[in-house]
Amino acid sequence: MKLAPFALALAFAASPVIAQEVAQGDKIGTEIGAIASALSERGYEVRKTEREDGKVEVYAVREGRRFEIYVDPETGAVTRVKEKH
Amino acid sequence: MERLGSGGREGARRIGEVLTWDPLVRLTHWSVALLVLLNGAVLEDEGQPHVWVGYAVLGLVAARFLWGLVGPARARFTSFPPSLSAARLHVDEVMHGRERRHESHNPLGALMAYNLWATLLAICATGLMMESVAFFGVEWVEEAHEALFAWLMISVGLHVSGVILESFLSGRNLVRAMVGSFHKRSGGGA
Ligand code: HEM
Repeated sequence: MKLAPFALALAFAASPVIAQEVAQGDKIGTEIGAIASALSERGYEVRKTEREDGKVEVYAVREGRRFEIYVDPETGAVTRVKEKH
Repeated sequence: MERLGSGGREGARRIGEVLTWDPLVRLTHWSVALLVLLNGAVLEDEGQPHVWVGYAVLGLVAARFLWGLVGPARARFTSFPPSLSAARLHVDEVMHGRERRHESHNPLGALMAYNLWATLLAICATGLMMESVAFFGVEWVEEAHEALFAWLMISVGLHVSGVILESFLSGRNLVRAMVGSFHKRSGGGA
């Protein structure tokens, strides 16, 4: 069972992250680099970032769910979290 | 549905000298053209309707694919196999003004049809990938989707030019054959 230790490690790695989904209003950073690392720390896999209408738009995947997260680079706050279904 | 010549010789009716394509070929052709226009020029790329339209295109091309296997002779892939040498011969004949009449697509048109279908399928495939967890937000997939669409537009331009040119050279109105007649056949045609 080579997978067992791996699954265990994954479980540990993932567990502290579970409670930390970002929500509207969270301040996560004013620069793309900071935003991306804040999201990675909270368990998001950042796929793409771009600027759209003065906002930073982040495409990210978290636990098999797809999100588009918008951040206001002025305040560093999340303005919108859109989950794709 | 109309008679498709279940005797199977041509699967099409004659309007004057122009052979009308069977209803499924016409329906899939114009639906796909319309949906491509809709997705390319009207709907937002980001929205859900864009995705539904993509699925519809996929369904239409799939239906045409089945028809290419089991449909009337003229619509079958075996009637217009992709062949570079046949296409070259065709160009040669056209240049020398001694083109033969082709019951299905002419050999150059056949290559274009396969190119158009392959491009449509590749656009749908990259579109589905963008919807998947694995490829969500992955840049190259998005770029491929856009590059393929650009190629489709170039191809459609060539396609329509080819149709017009061939209609002109052969004296047969190919567009009318694809539109078909919505009226019962009357003396005046059309
Ligand atoms: C997005 C636009 C379009 C796409 C993707 C497209 C695609 C195709 C395909 C795949 C075929 C092969 C049909 C089959 O065997 O089922 C075809 C044939 C044909 N298309 Fe289009 N088409 C487009 C627009 C147009 C337009 C605007 C015209 C009008 C000028 C046109 C006229 C024709 C004609 C006349 C044929 C039959 C050619 C022949 O006699 O061999 N198409 N098209």
